[in-house]
Amino acid sequence: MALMTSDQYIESLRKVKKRIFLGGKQVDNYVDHPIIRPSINSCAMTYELSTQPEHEELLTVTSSLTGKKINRFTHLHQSTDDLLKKVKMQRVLGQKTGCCFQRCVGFDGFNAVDSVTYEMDQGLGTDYNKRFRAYLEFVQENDLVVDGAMTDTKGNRKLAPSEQEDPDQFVHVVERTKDGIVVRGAKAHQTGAVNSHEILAMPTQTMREQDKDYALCFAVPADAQGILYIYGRQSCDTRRLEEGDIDVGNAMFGGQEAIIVFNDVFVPWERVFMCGEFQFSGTLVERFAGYHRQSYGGCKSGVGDVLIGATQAISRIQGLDKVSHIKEKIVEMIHLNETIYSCGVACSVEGRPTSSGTYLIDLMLANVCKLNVTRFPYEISRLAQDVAGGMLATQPAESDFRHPEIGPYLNKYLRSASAYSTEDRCRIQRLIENLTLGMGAVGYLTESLHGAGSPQAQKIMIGRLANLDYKEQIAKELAGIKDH
Amino acid sequence: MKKIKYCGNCNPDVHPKYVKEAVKELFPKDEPETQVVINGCSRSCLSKSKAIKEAKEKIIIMSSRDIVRRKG
Repeated sequence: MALMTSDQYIESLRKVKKRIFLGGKQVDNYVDHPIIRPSINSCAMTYELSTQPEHEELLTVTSSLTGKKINRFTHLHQSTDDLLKKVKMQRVLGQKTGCCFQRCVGFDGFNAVDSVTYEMDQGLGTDYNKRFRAYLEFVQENDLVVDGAMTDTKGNRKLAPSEQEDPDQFVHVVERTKDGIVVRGAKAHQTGAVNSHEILAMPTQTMREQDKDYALCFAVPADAQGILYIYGRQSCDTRRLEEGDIDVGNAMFGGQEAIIVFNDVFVPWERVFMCGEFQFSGTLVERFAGYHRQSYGGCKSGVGDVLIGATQAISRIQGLDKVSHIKEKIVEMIHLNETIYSCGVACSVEGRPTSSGTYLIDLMLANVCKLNVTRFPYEISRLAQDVAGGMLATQPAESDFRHPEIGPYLNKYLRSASAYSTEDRCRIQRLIENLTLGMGAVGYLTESLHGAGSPQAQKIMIGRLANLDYKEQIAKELAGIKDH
Repeated sequence: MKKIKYCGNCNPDVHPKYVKEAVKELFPKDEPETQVVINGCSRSCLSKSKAIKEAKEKIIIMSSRDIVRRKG
């Protein structure tokens, strides 16, 4: 089939009959649900741009498996150029949607699973890589969205998976048959789960031998028997149920997170890519996390571009664009944003091939990238709010602006520079609100903090990879300290 | 038939929609075996591309700023 269009993607979701709960009710038609549809539009942009000549170079690539033209989101990186183009692609998508576009987790999962299954086969004599590549060919051929499901619900964080009072706090095997396995558990914070065709589940942490039933990697159709989705609330989400399109800030696009429950879901062996090989679970987690931490250098710098643009716009509309401290704040926003991007570039160009042929990012620089991303969007947001002023948080509703009696007062008193309408001012204020306080802030701020691992996870990796012994030695040499 | 190849426009100096309009005006005629390659910013990603360096056909490399400036 090769590439789908965005319309074809949206229509394809209608055939994936998922059990979804939102606000206490089962959702019959999730594709057209006003709270869910903007997130589908965001994911659809990954298809839309693949058909546009000005973005095709980033969104499409020749498959290393089939030689056919595919969407880059289904590709195994074959070079540092591929790694770099991934980050650039993510930046464009962040610019076009102003939010999380959700297809990256599966993409990062493919690349991690490919190299690790290859190494498992080399070390243990299994045949997981062949199965995985057959599965990935299917994904590429059909241009599918795959949710990369890593984070378990984890229960008591002090206890290992097998020590939990409730053994289902981590997804695990409950039955093995000659045809496949049955799995039970739940995955949390699943970005784009409801918009996906498939789920690729991975272990959430390094597993020890006693936890080998939790060292699990598999793929299932998103509407497999026994799977259900519970949609997550977002700040200001019910604004999508109101009339009008100003107060939501970003009417067309949004992000999405859900809890996925696996109630004794059957997985045939051809879709199982790890089952008990706990020795390789840590490497899978580390590599997936590395790729996903690289991703944030692209996507969040793209969303940052939107926030910077909105801040520039509001400064112009409010007549402050020539004021020196405003210009300085915007420059600082750009500085921080480009620093995030720089880290995404750096870990890409310093990447290397693994023994499977799939390229891996530089793990140190990927972790530095993500650790910066846990901080800089917050400062960028603070500066945006500084420039936007208090109206950001006190603006009346769109319905008040449309009211026959009070609307004229609002249009009169909230007008700023004469070249711009009051509505222009309100729309940009709402976009800044969306990104720094509202639905967009879920992706731009909290996801920047916790997505792909919370800050402590990056610090652990940075400390581990820093080669401190060598650094200590060169300092001692320069200080004239002789080794005893 | 001429071919137009854009970089991915992740950091465009000029909005791609204006570049596309300018390209239509600057290159209205078909030119056999010619590829017009357009870099969107000073990073010039396509100029560094192995595929472009090794292309057999005639290549015209331009920046998006240059294209829009020439259109006027």
